[in-house]
Formats: sequence, C-alpha cells, structure tokens
Amino acid sequence: MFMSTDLYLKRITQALEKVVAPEIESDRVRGQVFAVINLIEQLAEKIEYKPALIQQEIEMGSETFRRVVQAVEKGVGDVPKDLQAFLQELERPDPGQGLGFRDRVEEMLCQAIDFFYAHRGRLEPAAALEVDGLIRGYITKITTRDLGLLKPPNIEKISRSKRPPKNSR
Amino acid sequence: MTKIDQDQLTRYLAEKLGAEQLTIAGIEQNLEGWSMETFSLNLAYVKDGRPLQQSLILRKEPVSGLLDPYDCSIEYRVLTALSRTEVAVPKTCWYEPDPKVLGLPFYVMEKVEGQVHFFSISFDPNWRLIPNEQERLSLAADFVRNISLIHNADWRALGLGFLGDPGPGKGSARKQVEHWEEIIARAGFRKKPVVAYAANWLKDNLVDNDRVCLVHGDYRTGNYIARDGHIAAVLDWEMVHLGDPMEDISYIIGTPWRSARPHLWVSHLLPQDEFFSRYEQASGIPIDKAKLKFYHFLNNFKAVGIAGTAAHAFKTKADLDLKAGVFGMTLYIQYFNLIRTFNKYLAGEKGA
Repeated sequence: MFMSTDLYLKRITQALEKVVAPEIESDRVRGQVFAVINLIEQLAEKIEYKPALIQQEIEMGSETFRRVVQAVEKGVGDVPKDLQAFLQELERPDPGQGLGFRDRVEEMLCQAIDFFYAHRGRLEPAAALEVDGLIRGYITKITTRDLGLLKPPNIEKISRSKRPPKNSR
Repeated sequence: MTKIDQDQLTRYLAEKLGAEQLTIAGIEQNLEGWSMETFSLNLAYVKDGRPLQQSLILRKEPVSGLLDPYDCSIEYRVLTALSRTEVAVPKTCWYEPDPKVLGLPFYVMEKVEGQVHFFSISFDPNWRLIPNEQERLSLAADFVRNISLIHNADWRALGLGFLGDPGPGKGSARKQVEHWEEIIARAGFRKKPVVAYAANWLKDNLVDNDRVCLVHGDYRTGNYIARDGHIAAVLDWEMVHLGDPMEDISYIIGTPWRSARPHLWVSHLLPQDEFFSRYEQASGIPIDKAKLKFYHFLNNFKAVGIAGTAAHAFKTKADLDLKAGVFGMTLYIQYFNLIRTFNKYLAGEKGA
C-alpha cells in the first residue's frame, strides 16, 4: 500500500466532503454522501492494512536482502557499512515489524540492488545472473500478490460517467 | 470539477479578441483527460459591428496531476511551431502565464471539430473502436503520416531546441531514464525494489541514438481528433520532448492501445508489420527492434512515474480529486507490468 489505510480513507472522506458534496444539487443525495463519509469514518477506526501482508513483505524482503548482500560480498569482497549493519540487524530475534520496518527493509534492499548493479562486472557471470534472478524472483512474487489484491478500476465509468435514463435499472 | 472564474475569463477573451458584448454561451470541462484541464468554450460577441460566434479550447495547468510539474507553455510553443508544418495540429491563440487571470497558467486554441475515440468495453463490447473499415484504413494512413511528419520535423529550424537536445549516442535514452527516475523519486517511490531494479537495468543498457527527433510521447488513438475519416488534429502533447523516434514507436505498439484479438491492430488501426513497413517508408527511419525492447522497459517505467505522481498527489492532499486516488492505486498494475516485461525479455538471457 502506498499510504497507510487510515490516511487513504481520510483522503477519500476529505474529497467527498470538499470536492464532491458541494457539487451535488440534490439535498437528498448530498445527505447520502455525508452518510457515506460517516460510514467510512466508522470503518477507519476498526480496520487496518492486513498485518500478514506487511509481515510477508518484511520476511521476503529481508531474505532477498540477505542473499543478495552475501552473494555480492562473496564476489566483490566487501560491501558498504550500511548494508553490513543492516545484515546484522536482521539477525536479531525481533528485528522489527509494521509498515515503518517494511519501508526500511525495502529501502535497504534498494541500496543492495544499487550496489549490485554498480559492481556486477566484478562478479562471475553465473553469480551475477543468480543475484539478478533472486531480485527479479522476489519482485515478481510481491507484485503478483499485490495485483491479485487489486480491484481493477473502471476507468471509463469514472471518466465518462453519464446519468442513466430514468426508467432504466 | 474545476471552477473557472467566468467574469475574469470573459474580460480576458474580450480584450484578446478585441470584442464587444462578449458572452460565454457555453463552457464545458472535458472529464476524459486525467491531466491538464481542458475546457470547451462557446463564445458570442460583436466585432467591428458584426455579431460573431466562435468555439475555443482552453487548456489550463492543474493544481496537481499525473504529469507534475506542469508547464503548459511547452505544449503551446510546440503546437504553435508545428502549425508551420504539415502535422495536423490545432491553431493556437494565446498563452497566459499570469496566474492572476485564472489561478494558473493556461493557453487557448481554436476548437477542432470531430471525434475522439474513447476506449470503452461497455459502450463497445467487441472492442471495435473504429468499426467502419473505410474510416479505419484512412485513419491508419493519417496516423502513420503524422508520426512520420513529427519525427522528421526540423525542430531546430522550428525553434524547438528549448526542449533540450539530449545529444548523440546514449543521450536520448539517458535523459529519459534520468527524467523519469527523478519523477518517481519526487513522488517517493524510488525506494521500492522494483523501481531500483528497473532504474539500474535501464541505465546499464542505454541504447544509442544519433537521430534526435521530436518525440510526441503519447501518440495513439484516443489522442487525436478524427473527422471524416482523417486525423484533424493530434492532441495531448504534454510529454513532448527531443529524443529517439523508437521511443514513440515502442509506445505506439504497446498492448494497452491494441484492438482485441485476433487482430491486435496497433492503436486499433493496422497490423504491426504493416505499421512498421509503412512508417519506414513514410519517414525514412528504419525500425530498430533491439531499441524497441529498451523503450518498452522505459515506457513501463514511465507508467510507474505517472501512477506514482497521482498517488503522491492524493497522499499529500495536493490533489483531492478521487481520480488521483484511483489512479494512484494502479501503481500496483504498473509495478507488475514492469517486472513482467523484464521477466519476458530477460528470462534465460546470459548476463541479463
């Protein structure tokens, strides 16, 4: 999720209140919009982004980070201190959790990818290929999972919404 | 929907047109575009004692949008320059940089009558966007002709050097990769592993180009006005730049713009092989399939930048339009498409 669930819901209610409701001419429909806002606010207090998904991202990201750094270290001989330190951090019994730690894992994995690319010429071709496959494998799993969780947007209804004829259902 | 100060706009147009008793009889916002705000204006006024009616299009920078940051003067200058060529473009009228007029810069151009083909499954279950064969064939010819004219436009002579000559060699590719990487970083998504992977791969595999051309950046059916089976105006120049013509070609043949199976026509108009041969013939520019692969990656990277910009705008409240929230969510589709493209091309490739 590119933003926390509560913030996402807050933005939706703000848009409904400030952008949508003022444009509605029917008092009844405007009332319905405020009812939707209230319902979303009620929900926002009770739901959160599924922790199991974040945990999966942390575990898979950490494992990929470990394997990439170790493989690159083997080929290059040395890796930057930041990467070393994070490798050690991951060895702790409870390295971290939640969106904040997920973001950190991803950021460190990005640094590892940048380092790998900057030095891939120093790795044996087979080793470089293996690291490349590791990274792509991890990304493929996560993006495939996220795609499965997405409800495709109905772009045409959003862009070209027309009022249906009154007698149609 | 954005509100336009009609009194302010009326005064502005009356002054520009040298008109008296000007009224805006109709103003309608085009809601199909998700970027620059476009308004259709119907005017009635008196000039030199004669009553006149005129339709104009106003394109205004949005507060925030899919292609942040905006500078509509670029589009205005490019359209104005291209009106001196055979490329089908609307005639521009005025560019207004002063935000005092309508809140943000805008430009005005003449309205080109015709139809914009809108991708739609529910309106068109068979996905036959252009069901009339005659119309499809003549539009296909114009489609190839216009992109050939754009790529062969003498941008130096037309004064379009301000777009930034990327130089020879890897300049075209490098400039685009860096541009989109910066946009993704600004939106806060450079620290996603899929983006890091793609950015590194692209920079490691830059392609050469010694034929710097004017690149439209979003050339497809849906971005031109069709009238009587011909392209009356090529629209949506928001991503125009100088670069490699193969970047446009790769974008044009992209899956999202194809017709349904079994045809899979490029931009709903013609088969890919035919498009390639007709383009080569009309433009004199050979299709380089190796470069198309690189630009396929780049175009997917670009899509991440666009969806990421929408997500960022929604997150930071820069754009409270719910469309930005919806479009931001398509980031996950773009991530998936990006890695799928890499997997498709790189699987089993030595030293990939």
